[in-house]
Amino acid sequence: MPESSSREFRPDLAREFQYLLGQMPRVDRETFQGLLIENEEVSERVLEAENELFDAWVHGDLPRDWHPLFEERLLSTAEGRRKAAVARSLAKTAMVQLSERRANPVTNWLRRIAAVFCIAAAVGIWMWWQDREPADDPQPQQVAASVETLRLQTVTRGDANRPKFRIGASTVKVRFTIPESANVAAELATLQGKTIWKGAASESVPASLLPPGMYLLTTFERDGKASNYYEFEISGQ
Amino acid sequence: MALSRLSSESFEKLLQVLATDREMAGVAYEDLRQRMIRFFRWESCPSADECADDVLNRLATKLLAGERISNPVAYAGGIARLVLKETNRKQAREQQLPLSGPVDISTSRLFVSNSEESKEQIQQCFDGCLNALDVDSRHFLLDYYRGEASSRILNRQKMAGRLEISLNSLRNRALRLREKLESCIDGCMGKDA
Repeated sequence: MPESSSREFRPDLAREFQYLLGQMPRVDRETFQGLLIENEEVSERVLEAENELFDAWVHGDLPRDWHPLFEERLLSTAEGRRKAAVARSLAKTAMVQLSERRANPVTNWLRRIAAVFCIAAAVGIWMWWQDREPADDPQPQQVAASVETLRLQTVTRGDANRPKFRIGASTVKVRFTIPESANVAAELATLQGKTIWKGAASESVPASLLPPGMYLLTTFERDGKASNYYEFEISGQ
Repeated sequence: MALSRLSSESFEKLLQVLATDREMAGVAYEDLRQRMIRFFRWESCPSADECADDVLNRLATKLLAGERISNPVAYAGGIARLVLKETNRKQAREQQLPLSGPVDISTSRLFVSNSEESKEQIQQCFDGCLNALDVDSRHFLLDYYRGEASSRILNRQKMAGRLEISLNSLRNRALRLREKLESCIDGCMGKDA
C-alpha cells in the first residue's frame, strides 16, 4: 500500500499521534498527561495509536513526514525496537494465517466432496452387506472395504514397532485415525522423504498412493510447524 | 517494585482510598500502576516501572502522613508529572557530565536496528507466547492485526459485526491481548537474556 498522508492516517487518533510524536503544544500536552493517568479510555486510545504506528511502520505505510519523529521518539529505545519486532512478527504471522484461509475455500470444497464420497461408499458397503448371501461369505482377508481406516499412533522415528497394515485389493481410499484433531494439515511422505500427498488429516487418500513400503504422516500446527509424526508400514498382499 | 518498598500499612491505606471493596481496590491499584507505566514509557523515562512505583510510594506516604486527598488518582497524576520533571532534569545533568568510559552502543539512542540474533530470539519468544494463548484469543489477535491500514479498518468492522460487539469492545480486547503477548515476550526475552 502506498504511504498515506499524515492527515489521512487514522484521523480518529490524530490527537494521540500528536502526543506520541511530540507534536502537541506544551499546554495541551500537560493537560493530556494528566488525562493519561486519570482516564483509562484516554490511556488505551494512546496505546492503540502507538500500536497503529508500529504496525504501519512494519507494513511500510507510515506517512513519510512522520518517519523522523517516529524513529526519534519511539524507535530509538530498546523498548521501541522490541515493539517493532513484535509488530513485525504479528504482521508476518497474520499474513500466513490469511494465506491459509484464502487457500481454504478449495480445501473446504475438497473436504465436502471427500465427505460425500465417504458417505456414498459407506452406504454402498452397508447395502452390499445387507444383500449378500450368508453362504457366500468370503474369507475376511478378501472382504476389503473400498475405504479402509488406518489407526495411527505417534512413534519414535525409526521405531521397529511401527504399525503395519495390509490394504485390500479393492480398497479405493484410505483414511487415517490419529490421536489429535483430524482437521489439522497433514503431509504423507515415504520414509525416503518423497512427498506423496498433502491435505487435511481428515481427508481420504487414494489407496493407489500407498504401495507396500514405509511411510511418514506428519501433522502441522496452524503456523506451519510440524506437530506430530506417525510412522507406519504397508505390507504386500 | 512498589509492593516490596511500600510498608503493608501504607499499601493498605492506598487501597482504602482507591475503593471501598478490597478486591476492587486491588484492581484499581493495578490499573493505575499500568497507566503510569505506559505514561512514563511514552515520556521516554529510562525505567518506567520504577518511576510508576516511585509515584505510588509518594502517594502512599502522603496518605499515611494523614494528608486528606479527595481524588487520589488525579493526585497521582500530579506526582507523576513531578517525577517526570525530576527524571528529565537528572538525565539532562548526566548528559552534561564528561563520559567516564566507552559508550555502550547497544543502549545508545542511535542504535536503531535489532541485531539478527535478537530478532531471531524475539521471533522465538513471539511464537512461544502466541501459542501459549488459547486458540480463540490467538485467532482473534491475528484477525485483528491482519492487513494494511486501509483494509484493517474494514476488517475490524466486519469482526465486530461477526462477534456482535462494539468496535470499542473489539479494540479493548485486542489491546489487552497484545499487551499480554508483549508482556509474555518481555518475560521470555528477560529469561533468555
